[in-house]
Amino acid sequence: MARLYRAALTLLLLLCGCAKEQDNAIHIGVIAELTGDIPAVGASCKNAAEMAVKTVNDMGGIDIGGKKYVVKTQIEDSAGRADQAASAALKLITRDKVIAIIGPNASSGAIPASEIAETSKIPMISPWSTNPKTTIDPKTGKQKSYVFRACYMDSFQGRVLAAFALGQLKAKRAAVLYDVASEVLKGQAEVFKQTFEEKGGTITGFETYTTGNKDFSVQMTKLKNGSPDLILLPTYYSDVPLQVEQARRLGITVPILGSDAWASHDLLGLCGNNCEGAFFSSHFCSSSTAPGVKKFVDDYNALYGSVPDDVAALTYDSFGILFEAMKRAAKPASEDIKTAIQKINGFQGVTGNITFHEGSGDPEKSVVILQIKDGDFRWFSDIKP
Amino acid sequence: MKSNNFWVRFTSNRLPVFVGAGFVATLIVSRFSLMDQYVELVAMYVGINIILALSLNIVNGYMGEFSVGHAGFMAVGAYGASVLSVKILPAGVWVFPVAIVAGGLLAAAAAVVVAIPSFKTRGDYLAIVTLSFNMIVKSVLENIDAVGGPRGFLGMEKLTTLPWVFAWTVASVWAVRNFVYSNIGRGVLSIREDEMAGEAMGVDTQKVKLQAFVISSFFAGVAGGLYAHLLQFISPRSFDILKSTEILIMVYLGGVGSIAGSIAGAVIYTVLIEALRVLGQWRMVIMPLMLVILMIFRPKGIFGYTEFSWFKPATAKKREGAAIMSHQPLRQVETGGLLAIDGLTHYFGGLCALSDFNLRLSAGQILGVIGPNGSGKTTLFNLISGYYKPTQGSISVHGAELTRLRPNEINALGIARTFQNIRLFNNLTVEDNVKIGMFGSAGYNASGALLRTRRFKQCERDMSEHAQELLELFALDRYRAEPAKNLPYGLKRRLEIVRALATRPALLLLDEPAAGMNPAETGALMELVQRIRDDFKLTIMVIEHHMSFIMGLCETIRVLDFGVTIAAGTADEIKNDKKVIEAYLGSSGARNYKTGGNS
Repeated sequence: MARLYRAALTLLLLLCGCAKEQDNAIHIGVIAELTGDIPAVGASCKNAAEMAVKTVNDMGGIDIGGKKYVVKTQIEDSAGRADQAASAALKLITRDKVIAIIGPNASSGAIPASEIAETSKIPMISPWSTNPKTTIDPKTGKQKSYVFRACYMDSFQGRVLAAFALGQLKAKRAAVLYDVASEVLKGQAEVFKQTFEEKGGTITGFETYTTGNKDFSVQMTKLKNGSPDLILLPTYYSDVPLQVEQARRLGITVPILGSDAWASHDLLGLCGNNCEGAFFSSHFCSSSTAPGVKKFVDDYNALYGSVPDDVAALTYDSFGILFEAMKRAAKPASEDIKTAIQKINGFQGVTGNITFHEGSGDPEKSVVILQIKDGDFRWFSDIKP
Repeated sequence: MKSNNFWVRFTSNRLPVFVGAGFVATLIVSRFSLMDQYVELVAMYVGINIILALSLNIVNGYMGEFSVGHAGFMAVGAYGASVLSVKILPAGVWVFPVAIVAGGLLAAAAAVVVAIPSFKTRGDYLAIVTLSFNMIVKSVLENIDAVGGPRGFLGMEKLTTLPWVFAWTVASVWAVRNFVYSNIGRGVLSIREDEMAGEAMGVDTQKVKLQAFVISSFFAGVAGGLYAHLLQFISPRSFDILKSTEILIMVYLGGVGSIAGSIAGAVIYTVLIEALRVLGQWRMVIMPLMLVILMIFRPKGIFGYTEFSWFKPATAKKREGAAIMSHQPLRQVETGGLLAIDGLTHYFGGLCALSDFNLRLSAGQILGVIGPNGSGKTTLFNLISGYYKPTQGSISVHGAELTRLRPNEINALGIARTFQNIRLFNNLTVEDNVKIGMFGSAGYNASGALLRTRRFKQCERDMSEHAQELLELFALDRYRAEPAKNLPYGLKRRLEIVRALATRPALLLLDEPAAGMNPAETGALMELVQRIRDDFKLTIMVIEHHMSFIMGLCETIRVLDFGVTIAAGTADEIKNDKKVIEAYLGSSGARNYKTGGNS
């Protein structure tokens, strides 16, 4: 029994562990999905966060109101769960006294964390949360003041995909197959359909499946019977190879269009020749030759030995936005930083040109369209809103 | 030891004071924000997880079934409570408790839907059904746009506060304790220990399972409602299989079949998850690892099957000079036959186990059933007690037809039995074994148990006294608090008879009561059986291989061979029956026996 008490006491002490203070340090919290069902997202986020902070500190820190500050990060795991994201946010705010939070990436964690950030008046930037509800106060329906995101939303992506299909691919008839169990993909499919029809296109088929399905032949046959000019597959990269293969086997030769859920290099190996020529929208193009992007990709590759994915790029840009805002703030206080983020205009990040408008946490930025060509992702075009 | 007793007395008397003080403390803490918000949040998670662990423990720990989809019920409660508080109920102080209770009731209603098909059979079936239920709930929620679909549901006020969580946690502990330590709770335990024996003792296992499952789900729903109003955001993803697994971990970590275990499991799990944040991604490896280690060294969890004394209600001591209760059959035959069996035939596939068996048994008789192994004796008992449905024929007691009834219903008509291979409720105390025998005559229902009504207390005290009396009569009272598995063999046999007597039967079926006993023990058992026949006004059927036992005890004897009745009569008649000797010794053996007998 005594041992039990001792163990409990140790735990209590661990829980109450004190945060140390340093005069010229500012603390930024990161909430990432290090464990759980999307650990790859958490790992990319953590890597990019550490790299962004190291870059700033190597240059002597950050200059706020004429004083140099060293940036310190505290990275917390959300395990991809809503409750743990909330406790991580509260721990960062009450224990580690962070003045801003980057993350969580998954919307299921970002929404509860954003509630806490908003009530605690701590700016939070989610790199990857595309759920519109993240930045909206559910009670008033207005935008939250302290919550931002670095990515564009699904609805925006759906609109851009529709514009691309009609404009550059000259498609008049489109068919869609999407994963109904994913909030993101469902949103993209629905907005695409709506926009495409509004702009004069026809949706010839609108089929669904659920995560884990492996046979799409029934849906593909239905899509084929509508004789579309284009097939949109807002589906995860792991499902794409089977779908494309089954489409090709049925003799579907029209262009295939995907969304950011395709953006994994694993797709290239899995899909082989079948995906050649397909397009998809993305947050980020790692093969871009723009100087900022190239430096980011090279540095990341040198540090971690891999090509950064869109989560890494968006995390890096989230820090970029935060640092930019800090430089413009009068003092390292959450309130000043929040106001400065709202005024970000034309920030040149690795994922594009980012602008925030007063009263909205959702950025205005361009969408990258990539094409699979010669077994690699190639930049095809930038679509500005 | 003395200080320990003092501590027990002190805490059991002061428990309401402690609970009240705790509640006031949480009120003050949350009103004046005395606690770090982070610690407060973790404390609230702890409370919610305690409720979840208790809820699952009822099914997995106490009932011994295996639900793996409890997050599904939590989801029903969470969405139900949230929709009510956001969309339906007008704003007001009473919204929150009403929404939470309604969420719990919705989850309970869902449990009825799940339970009805799955409790028809036993075993892994429930695991599969609950797993599917969890997945169905998740996909249904993903497809209802009115509650946000996969994007989740928001708009709840932050109504869950520390005092509320404290109050609900205490209420859940109290309710689960009341439930577990009641007649229904003992019925639930009998299902875990030995469902077949429980049925034979009159436990309506289907009803008990349903009640346990419904109460369990109610609390899962309550926890869901609290969770939703704490995070102000719920999405189908929050209630996936991983969440169910989390609850399972807490239950098996803390200990199955223990309230202290549920509390310990929830506290350790929730606090460690936060405290181990320093470990980064290794954090989530520690918990499963701990569980694996624990399962190797303590497979039932830290507190498995044991309980802190303050979670047990005090058992009533027998009052001095209390009126001796009747042990005589609940239903006495006035005149004539007690049991009538006509043309009873039973086939296992193509094998005829019992063929055209006929019997008239009148009150007060002792009938012996003998025959070589495999001759259909136990089949006969299983047919009478309702485990098998006969292929043909009829059995009636007091003129009521039994063949369509379930074992517990047959027990209620006054037939109790023991088993060839002892089937006690091994992990339960000797007293509880006997009390389960009284299941059918408890005199209060589930709500009485949950609210601990005056009637409940009265009935419980009566049952305790009755049980102690029976134990005293059979010299088992000093083992009262001992788990049945610790008894020596002979006493186990005796306890099984006492347990059967506790159901106050008119007819007692004893299946090889003297198996494994030496001649002295067998003699003592004979006297015991005679005594209970007289004292308890019983009619007895006994299967035995000890010939001296049968010959000395039974007025009439039936001999079975390959399912066919080959002889019937008194001991002397049977002893000299040619067919009987042949059946036991074979035809050549019979010759030898005869010649041997002549010389």
